[in-house]
Amino acid sequence: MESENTPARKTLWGLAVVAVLVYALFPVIWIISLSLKTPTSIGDGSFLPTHWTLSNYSSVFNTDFFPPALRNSIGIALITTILALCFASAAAYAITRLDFPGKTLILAGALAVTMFPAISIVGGLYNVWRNVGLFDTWPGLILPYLTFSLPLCIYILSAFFREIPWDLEKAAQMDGATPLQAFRRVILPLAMPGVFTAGILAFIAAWNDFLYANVLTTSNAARTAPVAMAYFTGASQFQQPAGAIAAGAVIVTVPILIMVLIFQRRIVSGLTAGAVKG
Amino acid sequence: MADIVLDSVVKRYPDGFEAVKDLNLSIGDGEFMILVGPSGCGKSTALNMIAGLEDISAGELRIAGKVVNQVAPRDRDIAMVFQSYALYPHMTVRENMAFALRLKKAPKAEIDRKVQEAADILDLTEHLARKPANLSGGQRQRVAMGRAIVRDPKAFLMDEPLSNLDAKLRVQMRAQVARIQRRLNTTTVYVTHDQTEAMTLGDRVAVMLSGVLQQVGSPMELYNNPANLFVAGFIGSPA
Repeated sequence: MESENTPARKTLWGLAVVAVLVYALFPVIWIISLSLKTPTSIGDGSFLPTHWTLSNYSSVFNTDFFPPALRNSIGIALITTILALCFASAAAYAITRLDFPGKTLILAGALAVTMFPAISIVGGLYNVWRNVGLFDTWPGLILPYLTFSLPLCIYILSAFFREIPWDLEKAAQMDGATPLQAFRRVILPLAMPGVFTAGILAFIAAWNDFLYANVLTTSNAARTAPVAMAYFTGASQFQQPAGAIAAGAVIVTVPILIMVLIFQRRIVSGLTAGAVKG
Repeated sequence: MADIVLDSVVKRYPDGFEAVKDLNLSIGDGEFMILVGPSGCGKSTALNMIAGLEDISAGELRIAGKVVNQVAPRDRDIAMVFQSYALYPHMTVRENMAFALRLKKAPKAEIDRKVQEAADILDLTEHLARKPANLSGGQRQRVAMGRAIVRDPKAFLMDEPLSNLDAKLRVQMRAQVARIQRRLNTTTVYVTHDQTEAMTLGDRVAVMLSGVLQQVGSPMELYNNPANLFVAGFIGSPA
């Protein structure tokens, strides 16, 4: 259609894009701005800081609980992501490639697990974890995170595995590959976009969690960054720690940004182009 | 190199359908055998059973005198060219062809030599560093052939390898396939639904219909003395 590229249409699109950008980015910019304000000017309501300062950042890192919490967050989220990807790729591969009884049941069961609201099980988990010694440990957080990210990863990965022509696997078998070799050297490289998509989602879910981390931890041993941010206090008891919280929020965003930027470059479609004719 | 013997081989699916019924066929060492028939006649199923990609429900399959019913495809030492080519898209042409040898942990010098040899035969030398996505249909087909050749296997299995090429290229490749097979003198089973390919390529032709072998013989035998009306009609009117 010719009307598709009229100036009026272009302007409308431009306005829409700007509106969405402002809507999405304004809170982020506001937080960054807050984190750069001095404690006295934090409530002045101006969009840009009148007195610029990095003291909020240094005070955040000078607490005795935030740096360990950041370490916990990174470690727990990374381990969760890696374990989720390992288990999910094996499970998704079996579900897409093999015919076994109860296949649909497994997928339905995986989906059902994600339907439990976290709040409904966290209380029970608290008691169980204290009894089995998982309370306030890394595994104590990794386990619940895994149960929620695995079903999602299995779903995403099985969708990607389904896209890969089965002939490729047969060809690998004929070429002398064991099932594991065929999977690792032919199927997995082609499913990489799916692996990275699932990886990003698993990482973000584990990174963002507040509820489990708040209930199931009590010390620097396993407390994660989102929870640690709630422990900020002002310089005196009459001061609000808004600046420190804002600085913490910005710091907590950075690892996610890095993860997404690294992974996103690899999420390119069309990897299987040229495999099979037609 | 080896002979392949199918002894009363049956393929029965779980729903009771018999795709291949009591197939007896013996393919000599170095012979070029064509399996031909209309679609759904069981020729591809028969080929997949020889490859090991499908289980054999009953009967015996022997390669070089050894029963291989329960042998995994990777241990049968036979190469297959797929109708879809099934090239590994994340590997270059060279890596595609070297894949089987690398899995066998062959010495690097030997891999390079064999890949180079195959590339020479197939006229792929200047494309070795390219990925399958950047190749034309004919080139992809030749890479698929090359992947089979480098392995120096006991037998080649080809599943309608030319059916995705345009008419002109198909004639060219047909000649090339015949030439390569004669040069390497490797036992070959070639599945096609194309009567012209059947009549021009093979030493012997096996005609199948609804899972039943109708007749086996040299192209001229089939043409001059068809066993029944179906063979006569199928062979007699090359499309």
